[in-house]
Amino acid sequence: MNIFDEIDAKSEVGEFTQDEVVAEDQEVEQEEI
Amino acid sequence: MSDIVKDSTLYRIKQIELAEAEYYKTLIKTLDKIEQEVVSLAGRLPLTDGKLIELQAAIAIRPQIKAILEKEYLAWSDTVVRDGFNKQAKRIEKTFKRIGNIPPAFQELTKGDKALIQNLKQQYFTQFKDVSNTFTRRLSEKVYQNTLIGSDFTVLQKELRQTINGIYASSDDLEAQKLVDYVNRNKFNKSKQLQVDKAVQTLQSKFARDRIGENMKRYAGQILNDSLRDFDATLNFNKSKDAGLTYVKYYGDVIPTTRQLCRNVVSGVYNKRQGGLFTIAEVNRIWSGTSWKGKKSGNPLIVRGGYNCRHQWSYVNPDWYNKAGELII
Repeated sequence: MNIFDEIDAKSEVGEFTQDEVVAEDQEVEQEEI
Repeated sequence: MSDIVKDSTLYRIKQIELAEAEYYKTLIKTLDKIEQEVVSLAGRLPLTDGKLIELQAAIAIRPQIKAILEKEYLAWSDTVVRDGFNKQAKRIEKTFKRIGNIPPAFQELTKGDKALIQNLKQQYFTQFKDVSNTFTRRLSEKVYQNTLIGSDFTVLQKELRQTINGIYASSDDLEAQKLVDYVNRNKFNKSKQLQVDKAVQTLQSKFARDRIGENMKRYAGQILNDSLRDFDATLNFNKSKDAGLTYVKYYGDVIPTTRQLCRNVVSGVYNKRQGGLFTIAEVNRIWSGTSWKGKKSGNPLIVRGGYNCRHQWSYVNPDWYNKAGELII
Protein backbone atom coordinates (compact mmCIF):
# COMPACT_ATOMS: atom_id res chain seq x y z
CA MET A 1 0.00 0.00 0.00
CA ASN A 2 1.58 3.33 -0.96
CA ILE A 3 1.21 6.51 1.00
CA PHE A 4 -1.66 7.86 -1.15
CA ASP A 5 -3.66 4.65 -0.76
CA GLU A 6 -3.21 4.92 3.00
CA ILE A 7 -4.69 8.43 2.97
CA ASP A 8 -7.61 7.40 0.75
CA ALA A 9 -8.32 4.54 3.10
CA LYS A 10 -8.78 7.04 5.92
CA SER A 11 -11.60 9.04 4.35
CA GLU A 12 -13.22 9.53 7.74
CA VAL A 13 -10.42 11.84 8.90
CA GLY A 14 -11.91 15.28 9.48
CA GLU A 15 -15.49 14.07 9.01
CA PHE A 16 -17.51 14.54 12.16
CA THR A 17 -21.08 13.60 13.02
CA GLN A 18 -23.47 14.62 15.77
CA ASP A 19 -23.72 11.06 17.07
CA GLU A 20 -20.13 10.64 18.24
CA VAL A 21 -20.51 12.62 21.42
CA VAL A 22 -23.38 10.47 22.70
CA ALA A 23 -21.19 7.40 23.19
CA GLU A 24 -20.56 6.48 26.82
CA ASP A 25 -17.14 7.48 28.00
CA GLN A 26 -15.98 5.37 30.92
CA GLU A 27 -12.90 7.53 31.38
CA VAL A 28 -14.92 10.71 31.94
CA GLU A 29 -17.47 8.81 34.05
CA GLN A 30 -14.71 7.83 36.44
CA GLU A 31 -13.16 11.28 36.78
CA GLU A 32 -13.91 13.05 40.03
CA ILE A 33 -15.10 16.62 40.22
CA MET B 1 -19.13 23.68 52.73
CA SER B 2 -17.61 22.90 49.37
CA ASP B 3 -18.36 25.19 46.44
CA ILE B 4 -19.63 22.97 43.62
CA VAL B 5 -19.43 25.75 41.02
CA LYS B 6 -15.77 26.32 41.86
CA ASP B 7 -14.99 22.60 42.02
CA SER B 8 -16.71 21.98 38.67
CA THR B 9 -14.84 24.79 36.94
CA LEU B 10 -11.48 23.73 38.35
CA TYR B 11 -12.28 20.17 37.22
CA ARG B 12 -12.86 21.42 33.64
CA ILE B 13 -9.65 23.47 33.72
CA LYS B 14 -7.59 20.62 35.14
CA GLN B 15 -8.87 18.07 32.65
CA ILE B 16 -8.10 20.42 29.75
CA GLU B 17 -4.54 20.76 31.06
CA LEU B 18 -4.15 16.99 31.34
CA ALA B 19 -5.58 16.48 27.85
CA GLU B 20 -3.32 19.18 26.41
CA ALA B 21 -0.22 17.61 27.98
CA GLU B 22 -1.20 14.19 26.62
CA TYR B 23 -1.89 15.46 23.09
CA TYR B 24 1.32 17.50 23.17
CA LYS B 25 3.26 14.29 23.80
CA THR B 26 1.68 12.66 20.75
CA LEU B 27 2.26 15.87 18.74
CA ILE B 28 5.99 15.62 19.52
CA LYS B 29 6.03 12.01 18.29
CA THR B 30 4.03 12.93 15.19
CA LEU B 31 6.28 15.85 14.26
CA ASP B 32 9.44 13.84 14.92
CA LYS B 33 8.10 11.19 12.55
CA ILE B 34 7.27 13.83 9.94
CA GLU B 35 10.75 15.34 10.35
CA GLN B 36 12.31 11.92 9.82
CA GLU B 37 10.14 11.06 6.81
CA VAL B 38 10.55 14.45 5.10
CA VAL B 39 14.34 14.43 5.57
CA SER B 40 14.50 10.84 4.28
CA LEU B 41 12.39 11.84 1.26
CA ALA B 42 14.65 14.82 0.54
CA GLY B 43 17.63 12.49 0.97
CA ARG B 44 16.58 10.75 -2.25
CA LEU B 45 17.00 13.95 -4.30
CA PRO B 46 19.80 13.73 -6.87
CA LEU B 47 23.08 15.34 -5.77
CA THR B 48 26.33 16.31 -7.45
CA ASP B 49 29.27 16.60 -5.07
CA GLY B 50 26.80 16.74 -2.17
CA LYS B 51 24.88 19.64 -3.75
CA LEU B 52 21.25 19.77 -4.87
CA ILE B 53 20.98 20.20 -8.63
CA GLU B 54 17.73 19.02 -10.20
CA LEU B 55 14.87 21.50 -10.14
CA GLN B 56 12.44 19.03 -11.68
CA ALA B 57 13.01 16.60 -8.81
CA ALA B 58 12.63 19.46 -6.32
CA ILE B 59 9.21 20.32 -7.77
CA ALA B 60 8.08 16.70 -7.94
CA ILE B 61 8.62 16.24 -4.21
CA ARG B 62 5.72 18.51 -3.18
CA PRO B 63 2.82 15.98 -3.38
CA GLN B 64 4.88 13.55 -1.33
CA ILE B 65 5.53 16.14 1.37
CA LYS B 66 1.80 16.87 1.40
CA ALA B 67 1.05 13.17 1.72
CA ILE B 68 3.42 12.74 4.67
CA LEU B 69 1.91 15.69 6.54
CA GLU B 70 -1.64 14.53 5.89
CA LYS B 71 -0.97 10.95 6.88
CA GLU B 72 0.71 11.81 10.17
CA TYR B 73 -0.43 15.25 11.24
CA LEU B 74 -4.05 15.27 10.06
CA ALA B 75 -4.60 11.92 11.76
CA TRP B 76 -3.28 13.46 14.98
CA SER B 77 -5.49 16.56 14.51
CA ASP B 78 -8.52 14.33 13.98
CA THR B 79 -7.85 12.57 17.28
CA VAL B 80 -7.52 15.84 19.18
CA VAL B 81 -10.75 17.19 17.77
CA ARG B 82 -12.76 13.97 17.88
CA ASP B 83 -11.68 12.47 21.20
CA GLY B 84 -10.56 15.65 22.93
CA PHE B 85 -13.74 17.57 22.19
CA ASN B 86 -16.06 14.60 22.86
CA LYS B 87 -14.51 14.06 26.27
CA GLN B 88 -14.65 17.73 27.19
CA ALA B 89 -18.30 17.89 26.08
CA LYS B 90 -19.04 14.98 28.39
CA ARG B 91 -17.27 16.78 31.22
CA ILE B 92 -19.36 19.88 30.67
CA GLU B 93 -22.52 17.77 30.73
CA LYS B 94 -21.27 16.13 33.93
CA THR B 95 -20.71 19.48 35.64
CA PHE B 96 -24.13 20.78 34.61
CA LYS B 97 -25.76 17.67 36.08
CA ARG B 98 -23.69 17.94 39.23
CA ILE B 99 -24.49 21.61 39.82
CA GLY B 100 -28.15 21.01 38.97
CA ASN B 101 -30.58 23.81 39.83
CA ILE B 102 -31.49 24.35 36.17
CA PRO B 103 -34.25 22.57 34.19
CA PRO B 104 -33.19 18.90 33.72
CA ALA B 105 -33.52 19.18 29.92
CA PHE B 106 -30.60 21.60 29.87
CA GLN B 107 -28.41 19.49 32.13
CA GLU B 108 -28.00 17.01 29.28
CA LEU B 109 -26.41 17.68 25.90
CA THR B 110 -29.29 18.81 23.71
CA LYS B 111 -29.69 18.33 19.97
CA GLY B 112 -28.56 21.94 19.52
CA ASP B 113 -25.45 21.25 21.65
CA LYS B 114 -24.57 18.26 19.49
CA ALA B 115 -24.89 20.32 16.32
CA LEU B 116 -22.67 22.98 17.88
CA ILE B 117 -20.09 20.36 18.88
CA GLN B 118 -19.98 19.02 15.33
CA ASN B 119 -19.53 22.55 13.93
CA LEU B 120 -16.75 23.34 16.39
CA LYS B 121 -14.95 20.12 15.48
CA GLN B 122 -15.12 21.03 11.82
CA GLN B 123 -13.98 24.60 12.51
CA TYR B 124 -10.93 23.65 14.58
CA PHE B 125 -10.00 20.76 12.32
CA THR B 126 -9.89 23.31 9.49
CA GLN B 127 -7.47 25.41 11.54
CA PHE B 128 -5.22 22.40 12.05
CA LYS B 129 -5.51 21.63 8.34
CA ASP B 130 -4.46 25.18 7.42
CA VAL B 131 -1.20 24.54 9.27
CA SER B 132 -0.69 21.39 7.22
CA ASN B 133 -1.25 23.29 3.96
CA THR B 134 0.99 26.18 5.00
CA PHE B 135 3.85 23.90 5.98
CA THR B 136 3.51 21.71 2.89
CA ARG B 137 4.12 24.92 0.95
CA ARG B 138 6.98 26.12 3.17
CA LEU B 139 8.80 22.79 3.12
CA SER B 140 8.39 22.52 -0.66
CA GLU B 141 9.74 26.06 -1.03
CA LYS B 142 12.78 25.17 1.07
CA VAL B 143 13.55 22.26 -1.23
CA TYR B 144 13.05 24.38 -4.35
CA GLN B 145 15.04 27.40 -3.16
CA ASN B 146 17.96 25.31 -1.95
CA THR B 147 18.04 23.42 -5.25
CA LEU B 148 17.86 26.67 -7.18
CA ILE B 149 21.02 27.96 -5.51
CA GLY B 150 22.70 24.55 -5.40
CA SER B 151 22.99 24.27 -1.61
CA ASP B 152 24.64 21.41 0.19
CA PHE B 153 22.12 18.75 1.18
CA THR B 154 23.11 19.31 4.84
CA VAL B 155 21.85 22.91 4.60
CA LEU B 156 18.46 21.79 3.28
CA GLN B 157 18.27 19.04 5.88
CA LYS B 158 18.76 21.52 8.72
CA GLU B 159 16.18 23.94 7.27
CA LEU B 160 13.57 21.19 6.84
CA ARG B 161 14.10 19.97 10.38
CA GLN B 162 13.81 23.45 11.86
CA THR B 163 10.76 24.34 9.74
CA ILE B 164 8.98 21.40 11.32
CA ASN B 165 10.27 21.45 14.88
CA GLY B 166 11.96 24.84 15.41
CA ILE B 167 14.53 24.75 18.17
CA TYR B 168 13.33 21.25 18.98
CA ALA B 169 14.57 19.84 15.70
CA SER B 170 16.59 16.62 15.88
CA SER B 171 20.31 17.02 15.95
CA ASP B 172 23.49 14.96 15.77
CA ASP B 173 24.82 17.05 18.63
CA LEU B 174 24.23 14.91 21.70
CA GLU B 175 24.09 17.81 24.12
CA ALA B 176 21.54 19.72 22.01
CA GLN B 177 19.43 16.57 21.60
CA LYS B 178 19.53 15.98 25.36
CA LEU B 179 18.18 19.49 25.95
CA VAL B 180 15.44 19.00 23.32
CA ASP B 181 14.36 15.75 24.97
CA TYR B 182 14.37 17.40 28.39
CA VAL B 183 12.15 20.30 27.24
CA ASN B 184 9.74 17.95 25.45
CA ARG B 185 9.47 15.73 28.51
CA ASN B 186 8.93 18.48 31.06
CA LYS B 187 7.12 21.27 29.21
CA PHE B 188 3.95 20.71 31.24
CA ASN B 189 5.64 19.92 34.55
CA LYS B 190 5.02 23.04 36.63
CA SER B 191 7.74 22.17 39.15
CA LYS B 192 10.38 22.12 36.39
CA GLN B 193 9.52 25.36 34.58
CA LEU B 194 12.76 27.07 35.62
CA GLN B 195 14.89 24.20 34.31
CA VAL B 196 12.82 24.04 31.11
CA ASP B 197 13.32 27.79 30.52
CA LYS B 198 17.05 27.38 31.13
CA ALA B 199 17.25 24.50 28.64
CA VAL B 200 15.40 26.61 26.04
CA GLN B 201 17.78 29.53 26.63
CA THR B 202 20.78 27.24 26.18
CA LEU B 203 19.35 25.92 22.91
CA GLN B 204 18.83 29.48 21.75
CA SER B 205 22.20 30.86 22.76
CA LYS B 206 24.70 28.01 22.65
CA PHE B 207 23.12 26.23 19.68
CA ALA B 208 21.87 29.39 17.94
CA ARG B 209 18.33 28.15 17.62
CA ASP B 210 15.51 30.62 17.20
CA ARG B 211 12.40 30.00 19.28
CA ILE B 212 10.45 32.81 17.62
CA GLY B 213 10.98 31.27 14.18
CA GLU B 214 7.89 30.09 12.41
CA ASN B 215 7.72 26.34 12.68
CA MET B 216 5.00 23.74 12.49
CA LYS B 217 5.31 22.71 16.11
CA ARG B 218 4.68 26.22 17.35
CA TYR B 219 1.52 26.66 15.26
CA ALA B 220 0.10 23.22 15.93
CA GLY B 221 0.86 23.61 19.66
CA GLN B 222 -0.90 26.96 19.74
CA ILE B 223 -4.04 25.60 18.08
CA LEU B 224 -3.98 22.59 20.39
CA ASN B 225 -3.80 24.91 23.39
CA ASP B 226 -6.50 27.31 22.26
CA SER B 227 -8.87 24.84 20.59
CA LEU B 228 -9.48 22.73 23.70
CA ARG B 229 -10.08 25.81 25.84
CA ASP B 230 -12.16 27.73 23.32
CA PHE B 231 -14.28 24.64 22.68
CA ASP B 232 -14.95 24.31 26.42
CA ALA B 233 -15.79 28.01 26.67
CA THR B 234 -18.10 28.02 23.63
CA LEU B 235 -20.10 24.96 24.60
CA ASN B 236 -20.41 26.20 28.16
CA PHE B 237 -21.52 29.62 26.94
CA ASN B 238 -24.23 28.15 24.74
CA LYS B 239 -25.53 25.67 27.29
CA SER B 240 -25.70 28.35 29.95
CA LYS B 241 -27.51 30.74 27.66
CA ASP B 242 -30.10 28.03 26.91
CA ALA B 243 -30.45 27.35 30.64
CA GLY B 244 -31.01 31.04 31.38
CA LEU B 245 -27.86 31.56 33.43
CA THR B 246 -26.82 35.17 32.91
CA TYR B 247 -24.22 35.78 35.61
CA VAL B 248 -20.63 34.61 35.43
CA LYS B 249 -17.68 33.96 37.68
CA TYR B 250 -14.03 33.74 36.59
CA TYR B 251 -11.78 30.91 37.72
CA GLY B 252 -8.21 29.73 37.38
CA ASP B 253 -4.77 29.93 38.96
CA VAL B 254 -2.75 33.09 39.28
CA ILE B 255 0.82 32.29 38.28
CA PRO B 256 3.77 34.58 37.41
CA THR B 257 2.76 34.70 33.73
CA THR B 258 -0.93 35.44 34.42
CA ARG B 259 -2.03 38.58 32.57
CA GLN B 260 -2.91 41.58 34.71
CA LEU B 261 -6.53 41.56 33.52
CA CYS B 262 -7.07 37.90 34.46
CA ARG B 263 -5.28 38.51 37.75
CA ASN B 264 -7.56 41.47 38.50
CA VAL B 265 -10.77 39.63 37.67
CA VAL B 266 -9.83 36.52 39.64
CA SER B 267 -8.61 38.49 42.65
CA GLY B 268 -11.69 40.72 42.84
CA VAL B 269 -10.29 44.09 41.70
CA TYR B 270 -13.26 44.61 39.34
CA ASN B 271 -15.88 43.10 41.64
CA LYS B 272 -19.36 44.61 41.30
CA ARG B 273 -20.93 42.49 44.00
CA GLN B 274 -20.00 39.97 46.69
CA GLY B 275 -18.63 36.66 45.46
CA GLY B 276 -17.14 37.98 42.21
CA LEU B 277 -20.30 37.62 40.14
CA PHE B 278 -20.54 39.65 36.93
CA THR B 279 -23.28 40.14 34.40
CA ILE B 280 -22.32 39.46 30.80
CA ALA B 281 -22.71 43.18 30.00
CA GLU B 282 -20.26 44.03 32.79
CA VAL B 283 -17.70 41.58 31.40
CA ASN B 284 -18.08 43.05 27.92
CA ARG B 285 -17.45 46.54 29.34
CA ILE B 286 -14.32 45.49 31.24
CA TRP B 287 -12.90 43.69 28.18
CA SER B 288 -13.68 46.43 25.66
CA GLY B 289 -12.20 49.11 27.92
CA THR B 290 -8.87 47.35 28.40
CA SER B 291 -6.13 46.22 26.08
CA TRP B 292 -3.24 43.91 26.76
CA LYS B 293 -0.65 41.76 25.05
CA GLY B 294 -2.09 38.56 23.61
CA LYS B 295 -5.69 39.83 23.67
CA LYS B 296 -7.89 38.02 21.15
CA SER B 297 -10.77 39.67 19.39
CA GLY B 298 -14.17 38.12 19.97
CA ASN B 299 -16.60 37.39 22.76
CA PRO B 300 -14.72 37.75 26.11
CA LEU B 301 -16.67 34.83 27.50
CA ILE B 302 -15.08 32.65 24.85
CA VAL B 303 -11.67 34.17 24.19
CA ARG B 304 -11.10 35.12 27.86
CA GLY B 305 -7.58 36.50 28.46
CA GLY B 306 -6.51 35.60 24.90
CA TYR B 307 -3.75 33.34 23.61
CA ASN B 308 -2.65 30.68 26.11
CA CYS B 309 -5.17 31.89 28.70
CA ARG B 310 -5.93 29.07 31.12
CA HIS B 311 -8.86 30.72 32.89
CA GLN B 312 -12.50 29.84 32.35
CA TRP B 313 -15.89 31.32 33.14
CA SER B 314 -18.67 29.53 34.95
CA TYR B 315 -22.29 30.55 34.61
CA VAL B 316 -24.43 30.98 37.67
CA ASN B 317 -27.72 32.25 39.03
CA PRO B 318 -27.30 35.04 41.64
CA ASP B 319 -30.02 33.32 43.71
CA TRP B 320 -27.49 30.55 44.36
CA TYR B 321 -25.49 32.95 46.55
CA ASN B 322 -26.18 34.63 49.89
CA LYS B 323 -25.47 38.29 50.64
CA ALA B 324 -21.91 37.49 51.63
CA GLY B 325 -21.36 35.97 48.18
CA GLU B 326 -21.25 32.40 49.45
CA LEU B 327 -22.76 29.61 47.43
CA ILE B 328 -25.83 28.21 49.18
CA ILE B 329 -26.96 25.44 46.82
